[in-house]
Amino acid sequence: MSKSSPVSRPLRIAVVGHTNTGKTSLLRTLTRNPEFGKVSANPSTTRHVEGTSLSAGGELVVDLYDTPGLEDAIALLDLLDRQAAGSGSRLDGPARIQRFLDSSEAHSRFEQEAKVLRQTLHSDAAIYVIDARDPVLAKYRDELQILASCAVPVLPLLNFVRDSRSNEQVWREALARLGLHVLVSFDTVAPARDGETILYERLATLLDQRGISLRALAEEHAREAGQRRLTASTLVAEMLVDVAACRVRVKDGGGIAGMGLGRGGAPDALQRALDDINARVRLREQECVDALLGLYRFRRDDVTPGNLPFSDGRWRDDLFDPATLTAMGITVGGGAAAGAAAGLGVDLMLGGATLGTAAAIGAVLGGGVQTARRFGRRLSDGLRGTVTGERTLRIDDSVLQLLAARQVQLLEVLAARGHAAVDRIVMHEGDSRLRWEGRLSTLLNRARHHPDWSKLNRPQGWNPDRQQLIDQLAGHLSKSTPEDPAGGLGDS
Amino acid sequence: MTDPSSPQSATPFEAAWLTEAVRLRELAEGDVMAYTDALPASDPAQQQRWLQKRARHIAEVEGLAARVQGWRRNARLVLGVLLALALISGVFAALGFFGAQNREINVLWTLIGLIGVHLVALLLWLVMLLFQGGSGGGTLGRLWLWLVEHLPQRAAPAAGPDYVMQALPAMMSRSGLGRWWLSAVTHSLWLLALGATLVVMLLALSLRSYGFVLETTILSPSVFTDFVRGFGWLPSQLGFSVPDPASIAAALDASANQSEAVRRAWSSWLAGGIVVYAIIPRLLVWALTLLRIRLLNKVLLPDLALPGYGDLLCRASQAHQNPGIVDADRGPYSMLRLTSPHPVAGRDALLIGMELHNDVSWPPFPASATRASLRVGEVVESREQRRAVLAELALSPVARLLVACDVRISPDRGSLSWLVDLSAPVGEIAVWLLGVDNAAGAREQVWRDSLTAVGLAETRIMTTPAAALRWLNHE
Repeated sequence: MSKSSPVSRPLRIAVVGHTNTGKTSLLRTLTRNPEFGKVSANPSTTRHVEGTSLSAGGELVVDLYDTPGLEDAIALLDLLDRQAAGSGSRLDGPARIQRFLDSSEAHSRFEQEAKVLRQTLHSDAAIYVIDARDPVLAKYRDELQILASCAVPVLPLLNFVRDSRSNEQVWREALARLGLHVLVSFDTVAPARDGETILYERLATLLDQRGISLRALAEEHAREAGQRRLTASTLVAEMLVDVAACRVRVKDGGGIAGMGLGRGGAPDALQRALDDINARVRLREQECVDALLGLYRFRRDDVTPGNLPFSDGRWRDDLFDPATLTAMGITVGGGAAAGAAAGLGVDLMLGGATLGTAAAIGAVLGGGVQTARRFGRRLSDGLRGTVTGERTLRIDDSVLQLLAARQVQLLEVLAARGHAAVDRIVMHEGDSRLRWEGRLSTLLNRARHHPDWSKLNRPQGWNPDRQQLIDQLAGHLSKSTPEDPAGGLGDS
Repeated sequence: MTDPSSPQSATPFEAAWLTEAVRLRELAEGDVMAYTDALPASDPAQQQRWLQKRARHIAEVEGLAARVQGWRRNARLVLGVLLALALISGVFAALGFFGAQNREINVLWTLIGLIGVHLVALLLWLVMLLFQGGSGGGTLGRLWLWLVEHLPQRAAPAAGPDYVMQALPAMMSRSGLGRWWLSAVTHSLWLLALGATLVVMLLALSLRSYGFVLETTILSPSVFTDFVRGFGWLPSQLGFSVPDPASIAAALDASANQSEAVRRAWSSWLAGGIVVYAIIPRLLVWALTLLRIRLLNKVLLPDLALPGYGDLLCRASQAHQNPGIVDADRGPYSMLRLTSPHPVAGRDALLIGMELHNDVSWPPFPASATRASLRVGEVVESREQRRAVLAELALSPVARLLVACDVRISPDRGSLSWLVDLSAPVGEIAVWLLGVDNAAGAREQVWRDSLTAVGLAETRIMTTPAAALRWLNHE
């Protein structure tokens, strides 16, 4: 890299703009660091200049400098004009700015503006952040005029373009009238999928000499995003395989296999097994949520319930509660479930068990047929069960579907979320965008036949077949997640 | 090295394994472990080496390296046992056909017995390789892996995730090495077994005398002639002999006394078949597999785009180079204050707007709602407009000035200082916040805080048209 770029020091870019337009937010999103600086709805939150670096291929490519907001451009431009008129000498832009920086006003009323201009003068380019929801006011034009005096390329960046109140088109026209034709739309809270790439591309067009390293940065970011997505899909796939392969054996008419409870304890044993498997599956799902949050570098308290019972970074619900399933738009198989039908459903499930026992179990389950049907059973287990008196519980398709839908939804939310976002992640109920068609269930059915593939049953090491299934599932999941609907927004 | 159990200590394989384990650990636990060696700048190859060195250091501190060693020990142990078993089965396979009781060798039966299973296994391996994608690697390799995985692990962590064992499949599947390692094990075992068979067979043929027969119940002699010639063609290219028709006839005739030449021809034909159709193909795929592993070892260098590495490298280089705070906050800015209310002759009032959104209708009141003493000015934005308003107020001061501000636009020092400028010539100034209902309450509070900070009384902040009009009309 250092061979191809003429200068080896990182490119210095000042992030400037009016107060409260999201400069620090932009830095947070670009550096994927939700801890950078301080962000609030109040103006003048940042009052110092702070730099941070971006690297590509391990090389520092860009130093980004967060600056305080410009707040008093009208008066400052007035001062600059008065200083020019007062001296009578004709200085160029940077010299005029330097004269202002040397004057006493730069240390009193315009201290904040002076910091911005000092940093801009020392930078190779400036990104001028605009809150696209604001109208094009005269003071913004004055700010751009002052920045133009610094004689560095200025890239206007329209923030909050995804907001319904955004005046993006008006801003584009106004900037064109000011001679600023290269600009970029970049929502720091919900950046388009290729937003960063476009941002660096635009910067590269302004900075001809450093174009190569900026493009390398753009490529590196795209590659990292792809790898992150694949890793995330693999995490989800692994969780699904663990759950699909999971099996719990319950002693028929007794306790959980090996516990040797009497026949009278059957419903208790089944209920306990249900509670146990529910808890373990939820723990496994939580492990996946934590891993996804960590992977995308979000904090656990970034996630919020919304309509789904999800709080403190965890889903608070019973996986086997039909309401949980229907909340995600998953249709639960079976039809009218009431009264005697519940017992019948359990009876079907248990095969050899008597109707009486089955009805008792159905009563304890409470959820009726819909709950009961979520536990299927393999024929071979059934045959063995009739001999050994053991029953096998496994997690039904609809629960797998729920887990897959939730995790893929979370993955999409995380992938599209800027690190500037201060609102908590809200998960919505409704139809999952993940299509549960043949391929997904075929793949997971393969896991069903291998209880030893589940981390819930035994610790997992290197198992080429399990790994292959996980890779296939991950590939499928990352493909089946829809393209970013607003992905083209960043383009002009 | 031929398999992961190679005794060499710092193989690319082990280095990659440890690096991946440390990456998974840091990704999952979020904490970055200390490592003092400076990151070499800019060269990706050097950075990959740095990552591996760092991982080795951390793995040794955290006991991950011992876990890898333990696995490798198990792998070696299992491989050793399997190799011994392969040797024994090779020997016994040969003895089964060339044993003490056996003086008559049924040539074809022996041939099928010695190489038939092997050919089927080889074909199966090839099919698995071509159609099974990431999986495959041969049954014997699978058996080896299964045994290794099920052997108790001495250095397994007592609690928490086992990053070492998570790293292995992840690394194997990403690099595509897994099936080749398994293949290498499979081929090594077969090669040893076949070699043992050949040696024992040659030993038996050298030290004992056998008669060679071809037997059939339903086949015609011409089938044997064709087969023996066709099968022997390839070995004959390497110098193995093919029995002539007379030898074949002699073999078919159980009562015939076979000459030494005929026996030697059959021995050579049999040995040639095993060498050419079993050992050489297996040797070829074995060499191919090792070559493949060699090539893929290059892929074992850490991919810098993998999650975790980017942040790590960035942090490591920033430790020396991150600019940090370059122009510090020097405390709160000195704020100007509004001129306090002072008497101005008359009851004239003026309403102006400041930096409003386009969707705000201006003037805000119908003309009928206002008195003669109330004037509604324009919406002020630019420097020129600001100057014009100040000039006008200097000429004809008003008792009350109401400035309408848009709550959706952030208050800034520029706007506030202009309010301060405005407060000087007028008797009293107040601010009307527009759009309070459709903006978040937080935004309104920001305005209120800013305005009170410059000295505006809370009572002089209006939010409704009625309140604004009442104040302007001195009601």
